[in-house]
Formats: sequence, C-alpha cells, structure tokens
Amino acid sequence: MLEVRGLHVSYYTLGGVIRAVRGVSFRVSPGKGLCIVGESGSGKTTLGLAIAGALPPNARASRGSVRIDGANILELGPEDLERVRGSLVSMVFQDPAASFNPLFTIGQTLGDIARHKLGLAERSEAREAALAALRRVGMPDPERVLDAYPHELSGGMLQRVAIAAAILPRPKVLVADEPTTMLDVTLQYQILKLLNRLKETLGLALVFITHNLGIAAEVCEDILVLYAGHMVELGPTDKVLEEPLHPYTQALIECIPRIDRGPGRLKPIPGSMPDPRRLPGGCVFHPRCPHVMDICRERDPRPVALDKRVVSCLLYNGEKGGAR
Amino acid sequence: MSLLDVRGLVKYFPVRKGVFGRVVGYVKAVDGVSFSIGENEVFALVGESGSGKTTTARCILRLIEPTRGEILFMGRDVTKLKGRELKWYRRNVQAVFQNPFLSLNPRMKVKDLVAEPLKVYRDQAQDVERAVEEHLEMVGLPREVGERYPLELSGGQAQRVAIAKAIILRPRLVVLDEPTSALDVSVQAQILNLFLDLKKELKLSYLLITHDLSVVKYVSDWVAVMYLGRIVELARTEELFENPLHPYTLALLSSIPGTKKAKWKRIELAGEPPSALNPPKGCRLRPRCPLAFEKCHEEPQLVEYSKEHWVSCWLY
Ligand SMILES: Nc1ncnc2c1ncn2[C@@H]1O[C@H](COP(=O)(O)OP(=O)(O)OP(=O)(O)O)[C@@H](O)[C@H]1O
Ligand SMILES: Nc1ncnc2c1ncn2[C@@H]1O[C@H](COP(=O)(O)OP(=O)(O)OP(=O)(O)O)[C@@H](O)[C@H]1O
Ligand SMILES: [Mg+2]
Ligand SMILES: [Mg+2]
Repeated sequence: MLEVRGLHVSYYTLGGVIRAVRGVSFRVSPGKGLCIVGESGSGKTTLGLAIAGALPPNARASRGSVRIDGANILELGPEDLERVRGSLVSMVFQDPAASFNPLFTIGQTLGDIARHKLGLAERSEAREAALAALRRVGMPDPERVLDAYPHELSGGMLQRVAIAAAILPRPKVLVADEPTTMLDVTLQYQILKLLNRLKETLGLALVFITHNLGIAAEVCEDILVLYAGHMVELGPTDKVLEEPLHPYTQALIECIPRIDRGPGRLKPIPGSMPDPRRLPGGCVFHPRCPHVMDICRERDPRPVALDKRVVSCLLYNGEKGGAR
Repeated sequence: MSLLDVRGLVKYFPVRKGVFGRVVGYVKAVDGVSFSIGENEVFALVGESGSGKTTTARCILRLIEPTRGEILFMGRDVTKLKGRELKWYRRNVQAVFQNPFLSLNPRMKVKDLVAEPLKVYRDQAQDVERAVEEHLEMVGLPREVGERYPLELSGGQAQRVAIAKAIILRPRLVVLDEPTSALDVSVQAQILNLFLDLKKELKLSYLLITHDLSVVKYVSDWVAVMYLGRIVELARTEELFENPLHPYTLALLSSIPGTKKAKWKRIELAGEPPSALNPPKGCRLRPRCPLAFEKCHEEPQLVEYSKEHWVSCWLY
C-alpha cells in the first residue's frame, strides 16, 4: 500500500524557492492505479520523483510523508534509499532511450539489476531472471532482445524493456511518468494494456502520470488533478471525468479535443498557468476561474470530502452555500 | 479547381554503405501518393511515425526533390518552377512546424522575425511596422511581445509568432506539420481555434499533419490515412469518422483512449510497423492485420468505395 500524506516539495534555485508540490495526500492499494493529471508545470513529475525516492539534490520534501507498506521513503538515508529503489518502488520515464546505457546490451543491463537487486550471483540465474522479465512484458523474441543494444530497438520495444527493468526487482509501487507520450497511438495502446495487466497480476500500486485525461480512463481507478502543485480534485476516474466538481477539472476536460465532438472551435482555459514563484493569493486557480467569488481571492480552500471524492474549492467549502 | 494537386508522388532515400558510399537499398518514404486540396479547405494527413507524412510535406514545400510524381499548384508544376515563378510559389505556400523555437532565429526580436518575410519578398514601400503590429494582433499577441526574443516566450507564444510570420505574405496554402504536438492541452485548444479563425478570415487552405485523430475531427475537411508511404484511406472527415473502412484506420481509432464504447469495429494490430526499407510485399499492413486473407499477398489499389471515400484494401 502506498500512502502519501500532506506532501510538500520545494526546489531551491538561484531565482528563489519554487513550491512545486503543496499539500498532496492520497492512497493507492496493491493492484490499483492512480493517475496524476494537470498542465505542464503543475508538479506531476516532482510528485512522482518524491514517491520514487529520486528527487534531485536541489529539491526537498519539506513536509508530509510517503509511506510504502509503512516505511517512510522521505526519512531514509542515501544507503537505505538505494536499497529501496527498485525493490520497493520503481519508475519508468517518458524517454526510454535516456534510461539505458548505450554501451551495454539489454542483457547486461537487466542482468546487473538482477544481481544487485535480487542478489542472483550466478550469471545464468541473472540471465534467467532477465528473460523472465522480458517475457512478462510480452516481448516477442526475448532471447534476441537480450543480446541487442538499446539503439537496435524501436521506441515501443525499448519502453517495454524499460518496464521489464522496472518490475524485475519486484517493486510494490511503480511510478510511470508519461510513458507513452513519445509513442505512436497503436503502440501507446499496447503499453497501456501491458501496464494494466502487470498491475493486476503482480499486485502493483501504479502511479501513472499523464496530461492526457483519456489515457487516465484506460488504466486507473482513481484520478488526482494537480494545479500549480495543489491537489484540486481526487476521486474515482469515472466520477471525476463524467461529473467533475472543481472548475479546473471541468475546464481541463472541456479543452481537450474529443473524437465524439467537433467540428468547430475548442474551449481553452482562459489565461495561463501562474509563475510558480509568484502564485496568486487565495485559491491558486482564482485568476482563471469562471466561478470566482470575492472570497476566493483571500482564502485558501481546504480539501473537503464530497460525493466519493476530495475537492479543494470554496464553492464547496461550507460557509458559502453549504456543500454545493 | 483545386489549389494543390499531388499526383503519384514518390520519394526514395538511398541508403549508402562503406567507404565508397555504395547504395545498398532505398527507404521508400513516400511511394505513390495522390491527393488534392481545394480552395479554403483543410486537408489532414494522419498515420504512424515514419509513414511519410513529413516527407510528403517537404516535397510540397520544395525542401527536397521528389523521386517521381507531379505536384501542381494552381495548375503549375511546382517541381519545374524557377526564378520569379519559384519566388511566387514560396510566397504562396508557407509552413508552421512542431517546434517553433527551432524555426525562429534566437538572436532576432519578435517584430523583426515577423517582418522578415516582407523584407525578403516585397519592396520596402509598404508600412512594415504597421503590418507587423496588425499581424501580432491577429495571432493574439500583445504589441509589447514584438520587443522580446524567442527564448523569452512560452511555447504557445512562440508558435503564434511562427504563425504570424507564415501568414504575413498572405499565402494561399499553409503546411502545418504537427503544429500543436509540443503544446499543453489548453494552449493547443487556443492555437487550433486560431487556425480556424485565420482560415475563415484569410481564405487559407491548410495541409495539416498530425497523429491525433481527434484534432482532425475539429478542424479538417478531408483526411488521408497513411501507412508506410501509401495512402490507405481518404475521405471527407465526417464520412471517415462515420464509416471508417480500412483495418489500419480502425486500429488508429481503436487506440484512442476512452473510446471503448464507440460504434466502429475495434481492431488491434499485432507487432510494430515494419521498416520502410523493406516494406512487406502485397498489402503493406498484411503482417499485422487481423483481417488479412489470401488475396492480401497482392497489392491493393486506392479505389472509390462510395462518394468522396476511397480505400485501399481487398475487403472492399
Ligand atoms: N530541477 C528543478 N529545479 C528547479 N525547479 C524545477 C526543477 N524541476 C521542476 N521544477 C519546477 O517545478 C515545477 C513543477 O515541475 P514538474 O516537472 O514537476 O511539472 P510537470 O507537471 O511534470 O510538468 P510537465 O507536464 O511539463 O512534465 C515547475 O514550475 C518547474 O519549473
Ligand atoms: N533525409 C532522409 N534520409 C533518409 N531517410 C529518411 C529521410 N527523411 C525521412 N526518412 C525516412 O523516411 C520515412 C518517412 O519519414 P517521415 O519523416 O516522412 O515520416 P512521418 O510520417 O513524418 O513520421 P513522424 O510522425 O515520426 O514525423 C522514415 O522511415 C524515415 O526514417
Ligand atoms: Mg513532467
Ligand atoms: Mg513527421
């Protein structure tokens, strides 16, 4: 079980402090998926890195906790963290080519992981484990792939190998950061189906990051919508997509072209994302919100539980008009 | 009459090997493509990576020489244009690409970038400054952006600058190669709306290259689906979505997330696209197609299935 509570992450830069994640809480059970969506710069990757214990040196998780089966990832020292990475939580990235050393064959890379993370000293054992992982991700002709170099594989195949590498040490949590964005739609679909299957058969808690809400519907039970680092809505996928409560979720869904709509104009979200160093006071979304009220400029909304989900919006914050 | 006619376009890239650069084969990037774009029409090319969309566009823009085939613009053979006629063609056919930062000189101010085509193609007599201001406004940029450099712009703003630059000479056709793929969803919606507005206002035609079929649904009049250098299906947009025929088109539609309940037949392709260096014999989709049968070892032709709808598949 993955449990994130009240998480805050900041980057320390010469230009000032960037509060990339501000108060995010959620849970993901084994065999289930949570999708993190939001515009560029909303803090999705930062949140993913924090869960995977892989934040860059200039980032700090200043508050909150990330627990996997009880252990708080944020409190681990460098050595424990190294041990935990892979065997407790793994991450897959957008560009699979960037995560492989071009000088090693796939077999060498996967074999290394098997030796270090599974403690398989025998060369033949490590090779067997690597082969098993490739078979598990549905790789055709896995023996041949073991002897191939990364550049000899297509993007779709390489992403499959990256997933094989991630699940090889049998993690409890898999964080996938836009793993299909660089792939063609037909390959994208194959990878989504694969992640779905792995999540169920291996009992993984899957955290799937995307800016494509349609993809969310394919792989995840729950959706978390982020805006400027804030958790604006969290709930079951179909609820959030079909009856979004937060005005930002509504606007985000509305601006995406849909195959069952058109022709004609689209509906962009008015305005643009705020500069992360100068976030507006009150509710961070108020300058772009079609339902803005006076109080939104002053007061930060607290997350409230409503209709099977959590939403942070003053429209639903008690004093003003009750729960609606 | 149509504005642009592409007839039997072929582009092979030689593959060389060894010290003497011996040609060992050809990448058949575009292998017999024909279509027409009418006045004030949007024509979309969709298809997987490597299917030859960009190569088709580059031939049309005369950035590369086609191996064979004809490209007619307002009845004139584009591949034969020289001198003043070529200049006339280049003014009338402009382009916007995926990454605006690559096509905008980082050392020039926005206002100079937008003015550049005017300086290249016209005498100085006309009021350049006013034209630049007008066009910045037309693409929805505040005047002060003119004083900035490209790297001081967001992705969406930079794409607007590229668009202003492309329309300032009042072209008849604008080639859009994945113009919104690098943009955030909300910005994509803004830019697509801008394309629709400019089409109406300036009577533009577009050749829109994209891999996103839902974008096509909003802005395009016609769609051609490409697979390994060939057009496999071509139709009016509403007709294609109403009645998709080719298994590859069905597979593309089926892989759009969130369309489980759609009315078309769901098709999943096996494996990955083969290389354009050695395309399969017969129908190129055969090795991956779940509906393939004996006949598919022969090559199908693009035939008219119904009014304004062509398909290249033995099933029809
Ligand atoms: N290493 C870093 N140093 C400083 N600031 C950073 C760093 N990485 C990210 N940021 C900032 O933190 C904020 C959140 O970035 P993050 O990459 O998490 O967003 P994202 O939602 O993943 O965006 P995208 O969709 O573009 O991938 C942004 O304002 C970004 O500029
Ligand atoms: N200059 C070149 N030299 C050799 N091969 C090339 C060249 N340009 C393109 N190709 C090849 O031609 C084929 C078609 O490429 P093209 O860029 O037209 O595809 P595309 O449909 O635009 O793909 P994408 O969606 O990835 O942009 C590919 O196999 C590509 O590798
Ligand atoms: Mg990211
Ligand atoms: Mg291309």
